[in-house]
Amino acid sequence: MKLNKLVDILDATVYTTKTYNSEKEVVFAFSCDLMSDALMMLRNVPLEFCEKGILSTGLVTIQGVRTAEMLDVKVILLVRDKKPTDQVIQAAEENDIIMLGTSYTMFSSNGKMYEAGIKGISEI
Amino acid sequence: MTYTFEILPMNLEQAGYISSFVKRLLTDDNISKMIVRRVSIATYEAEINVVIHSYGGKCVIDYNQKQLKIVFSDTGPGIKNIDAAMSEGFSTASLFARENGFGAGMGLPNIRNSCDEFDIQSSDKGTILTIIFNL
Repeated sequence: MKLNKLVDILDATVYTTKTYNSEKEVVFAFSCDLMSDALMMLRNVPLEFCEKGILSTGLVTIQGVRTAEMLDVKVILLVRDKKPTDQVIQAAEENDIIMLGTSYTMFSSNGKMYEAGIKGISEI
Repeated sequence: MTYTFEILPMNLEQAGYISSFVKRLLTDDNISKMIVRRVSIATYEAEINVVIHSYGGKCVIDYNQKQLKIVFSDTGPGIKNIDAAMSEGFSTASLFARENGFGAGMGLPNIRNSCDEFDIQSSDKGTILTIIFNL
């Protein structure tokens, strides 16, 4: 789906106005608060999973951006209304990453994404 | 080419700088994306380990067309039980590390599974981790 549809579904805030691309195609998602989980679980997925993937997390520090950078994930979704600092937003933009935020919990935002057709590792 | 970096303890703002450098280095040289991903993951995990577990250290990168060798060394306190540390899920990470998204006990196993050669030596004087990737 196009990213603007995801923004609508999640009533999301776009934090990175410089990198936001409403037409970007997103197909996959992975959720975790521990970045080691993302670094392990996404190590062997097809490149497309990350390139068209969303990292959904409650971690709002710069390490979420670094993790996305290492994995070539281009969209980060911050859940539970977590607010990134200007420094974190800047780091995301410098790495061509789009950062969104939603007030939905991780469970609810995942449910909404899954219902809309976004796939997880288990579905590839 | 050889590159050397200092790693400061508990400085998570800086953590990832070396991994970003290595990723750019390989990407600019058109190395396969799957290899770049493995290198990035291993380097980042190792860099984080030095930041959250050690008194500080350094990273030395030797890079040529065939091979990438990265050595992380720190000044202690060392890993008391390397076998346990290599087990998935074993962690001695602090609350500080966990609050910053690390400490799942997957770091060293993930590093080992990402590289082509892996060696770790540790004493109370420090830890030396060597990882090699065939390019």
